[in-house]
Parts: sequence; structure tokens; C-alpha cells
Amino acid sequence: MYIVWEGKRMRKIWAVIFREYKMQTARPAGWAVLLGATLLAQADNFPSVGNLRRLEFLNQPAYFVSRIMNFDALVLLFGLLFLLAGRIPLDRRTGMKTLFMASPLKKGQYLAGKLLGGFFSTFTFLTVFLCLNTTVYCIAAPFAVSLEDGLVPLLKALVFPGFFSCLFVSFCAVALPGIMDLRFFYILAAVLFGANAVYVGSADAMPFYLITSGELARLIWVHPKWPFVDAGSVWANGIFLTVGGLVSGALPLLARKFWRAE
Amino acid sequence: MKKTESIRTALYPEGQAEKAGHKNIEICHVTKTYKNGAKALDDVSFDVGSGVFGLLGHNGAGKTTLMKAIVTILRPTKGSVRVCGFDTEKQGEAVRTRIGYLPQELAMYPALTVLDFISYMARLKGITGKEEPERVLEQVEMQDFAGRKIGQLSGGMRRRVGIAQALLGNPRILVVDEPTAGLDPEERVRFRGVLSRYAREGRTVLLSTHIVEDVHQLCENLAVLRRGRLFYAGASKNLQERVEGKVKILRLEREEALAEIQKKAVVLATTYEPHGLTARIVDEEDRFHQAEPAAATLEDAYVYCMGGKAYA
Repeated sequence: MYIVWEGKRMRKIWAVIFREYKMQTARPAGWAVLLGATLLAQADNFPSVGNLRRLEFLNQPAYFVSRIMNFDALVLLFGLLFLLAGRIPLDRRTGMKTLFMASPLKKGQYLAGKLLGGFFSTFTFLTVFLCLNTTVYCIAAPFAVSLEDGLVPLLKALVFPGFFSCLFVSFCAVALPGIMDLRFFYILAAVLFGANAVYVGSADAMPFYLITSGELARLIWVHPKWPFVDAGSVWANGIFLTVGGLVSGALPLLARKFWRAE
Repeated sequence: MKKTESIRTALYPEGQAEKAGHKNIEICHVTKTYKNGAKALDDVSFDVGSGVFGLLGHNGAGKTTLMKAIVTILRPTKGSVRVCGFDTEKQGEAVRTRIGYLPQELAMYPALTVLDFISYMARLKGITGKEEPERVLEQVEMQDFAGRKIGQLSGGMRRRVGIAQALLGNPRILVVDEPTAGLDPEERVRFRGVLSRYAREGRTVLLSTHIVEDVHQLCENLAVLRRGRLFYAGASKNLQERVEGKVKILRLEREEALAEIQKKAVVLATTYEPHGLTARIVDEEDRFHQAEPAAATLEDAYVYCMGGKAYA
């Protein structure tokens, strides 16, 4: 009996995840953001003769992946954050939240579905972005790039900063506008992303609050002159992104007004 | 969940709640006071049996608040609501599985197709497979638009999709909040057909509206809310009987005369004509012998009640 009930509960969460994922990935605006970030990434990092002369390490695929992860992926995630931030306010505006609350759906199921749907869609966009750009790089490079040379940094980028950045961005973007004014959330997000964008980088340990260009990104590529990666900073960056995302995601569970009284 | 189920089973063995002769909805001394002190509902009590039951009242009378309390979204400050014998506070899960709800403003997801939306809602109610979504779309005559995006539908069609999701799982109670507001006459007639068909076989449709015509056409019983208080609950015809024989039509040459009449009678409606105006009044004390008697309608009774004379 208990197993059947658990199964039904999971089915409802999956239904919300699937629908959220499908709606997010079907939005033309999401693909427009991806296209914009891709054009930006290629304009700056395309392996042309000029760019190869300008950027000392552009002949290394790991450097290319690290560069687009540092800045262009941040642009992509910033755009996706804005799109995701409207999900719960949209449910309120369209009356869908009232409908969900009147159905046999629990607060945790609703929130888990929304958060994971947002996370999977964000991770999909990031994966497409990284794969697309790396493929263009590998094809266009005036030197031979082996499959391993392209694939290893790509996987590193997806696993280390990619996964954690998507978790942080999607959970914050979905959950926080559910408990605070959307415009205030946009201001907070703009400040954090602005601080990330203007940070110029350093040979020392990177600040923990960097989303795509923190110490985790150094696991993709390190400068040959400063090959040191600070393990403590890697942890700090990973913990900030994970805990920040999870705590933000859990905040609506504590907000009494977020759901019907149970 | 397990605990709730066991409480429910202890109180009402499976199915007994429905069979034990309970009214489908029992509202007992319900009061809802918001944090700012505003009273949305004030000691409201009435029962709802099977059939279509109308809930009438001005905008802001407390209809939506009461409906939200019935569908377990909102918890009353005082009093209790029971649906099919289950307490909405203590046995919310059991209530939610027996209720279909159409909120007042439901825009839904414009990018989804009708079938995708209905299938989504079905899954949230624990219903799998395509048969049930197709069945409810057929019930509201939307099967030919199943593949169309919700954003491309007219207002009436959207309401039909809204009612289709409420019908999923064949709930015993259907709660619909202002379903015909803003619809054209053809859609309103269609909607009434869907609701009255559904109310057969012991099911209950609770229809909240401020369109008296809908209640007149559909409901044998109704409740009238005014400023959060229950003004009337009972048979529609009994409400109508309150003004039976008192409704009159009075022709006036000057508008100024209207003010004098308002001091002596309740004016239900006025119609301006090229040479004067016509006033539809309730002449309680038979003061206006020159006025023509007219057949009373439910709308007359409702406007008379809302006019405040009998209430004051």
C-alpha cells in the first residue's frame, strides 16, 4: 500500500517535471538566448587566425571550453534565469496555482517538480551551448583536434561548474520569486551576475560566489604559469552553489502563505 | 497521508460517507477574518444537496472565499466545512479527490495544447491513459480542438477546457466560480447544458455567479451572500415568492419623480424612453395604484434583497 502511494507521489512529481521541462525547452525565447550567447562566444573565441594570434592558448580545446564557460555561459545562464523567474508568478497570474492547490497535489510535489523541471531545462540549454560551440571550434580549428581533446574538457565543464551553476541558477530563479517580489529578485540577480561579469580573474584563489568562473572552472583548464588549484576554494565554490541553490529551493516550503494550509 | 487515511477510515468506512445520507456539502458557522481585520465571511451556515446549487451575491460578497474554503485552499477562521462527510481541514486529501474545481480566473498555459493540458491535470489527479482526457473533452464538445493551443482559443472555449479539467475523474462535487461571466449567449446556454447534465445521478454542482439568469435556469436551490453574511438559503421559488404580487411597472414623465418613489418603494430597474421613463418597483404597501402589476422574476427578488430594504 505504502509503495503504491509512493509511486503515485513520484508520478505526480514526474508529471510536473516533464511539463515544466517541455514548456521551458519549447520557448523560443530560451533558444534566442542560446543563440545570442553562442554568437557572442564565437565572436570572441572562434579559432580564426586573428583570434589565435590574440589569445595565446586558444589552440588548446580545454582553454576554449574554459573561456566560453567563464563568460559566455554566464550570459546564457543570466538570460535563462530571467525566463525561469516567471514560472511561479505565472502560475499565480493564470490561476493555475489555485487549480494545483485544489487538486490532490502537495506543496513538496509541486515545488520539486518546478525546481527539477527548471534545472533539467537549464542544464539542457547549457549542454547544447557547450556542445555546439565546442563542435564549431573542433571543425573550424586550423589544426587537428582529437575527439578526446574536445570531449574531456567538455565533460569536465558540464560536470563541475556546469551542474552546480545550473543547480544554483535554476533553483534560485524558480523558488525565490515564489516568496518575494519579482522585480526585487531581478535586481538581486542583476547585482550578483554583474559582480560575476566584472570580475577579471586572478592567479590566486577565486571568490566563492562566482557562478561559472569560480574555482570549479579551474578544473577544466589551468594557466601553465599558475597550475595551482586551491582545493578549499573549489569546495567553497561548490558548497556556495549547491547550498545556495538548495536553500533557495527550500525557502517556499517554509513560507506558510505559499500553499494551502495543511 | 497514511494517518489521514486511517482517520477517514475510522470515521467513515470506505464509501460510507457518501451513503450515510450526508448532505454533499455542509457549511457550519463559517467565518473568515483576514489579518487586516476584514471579514470575508461572517457566520455562514447552509447545506447543499445533490443537483445544481446557486451561490449568488455581489462582487466581494464572499462567494469566492466560501468556494476556496470548500475546495480546501483556504482555512476558515471559525466553523467547519464538510464535503461528502469529510472535514475540509482534517481530511483535506479525501475532499480533494472528490472535488472538481473551476476557479474564477483561469488563463491556463497558453503554449500548451488542449489535450496536453487536460492530460497534465489528469496525471496530477492520479489518472493515467488517454481515455479519461478524451472523455471529458467530448463532454464539453472540445474533442475537435484537442490539438489546438490554449492561447488560440476563444474565451468560451477556454472556459470549456477549464470545466473539462474539473470533470476529470468524475468527481462527486463540482465547484464552479463565475463560469459564464463574459461569455456570449450561445456559450452560456452550452455551459448550462454541461452543468445540468453533470448534476444528474446524485452529483452536486455548486455554481457561484452574479448572473441571476443562470441560477434561474439551473438551480432549484440557492444561497444569497451579502457582505460576507448569508442573506438567504433555500428554494429559488421561495425567494421569488417574497416579491410575488408586489412587482409593478410605473410610468413617469419626469426623472425627478423617481427620487420621491424611491422613498416609498424599492426601485428594481428604470428604462428611459423618449417621453419619460418606466420604473420597475416593488410596492410592498400597495401605495401605487396607478402602476401596472407585473410577473415577478428571480432577478426581481434578488435585486429587491440586495436593495437592502428587507435586510435593514
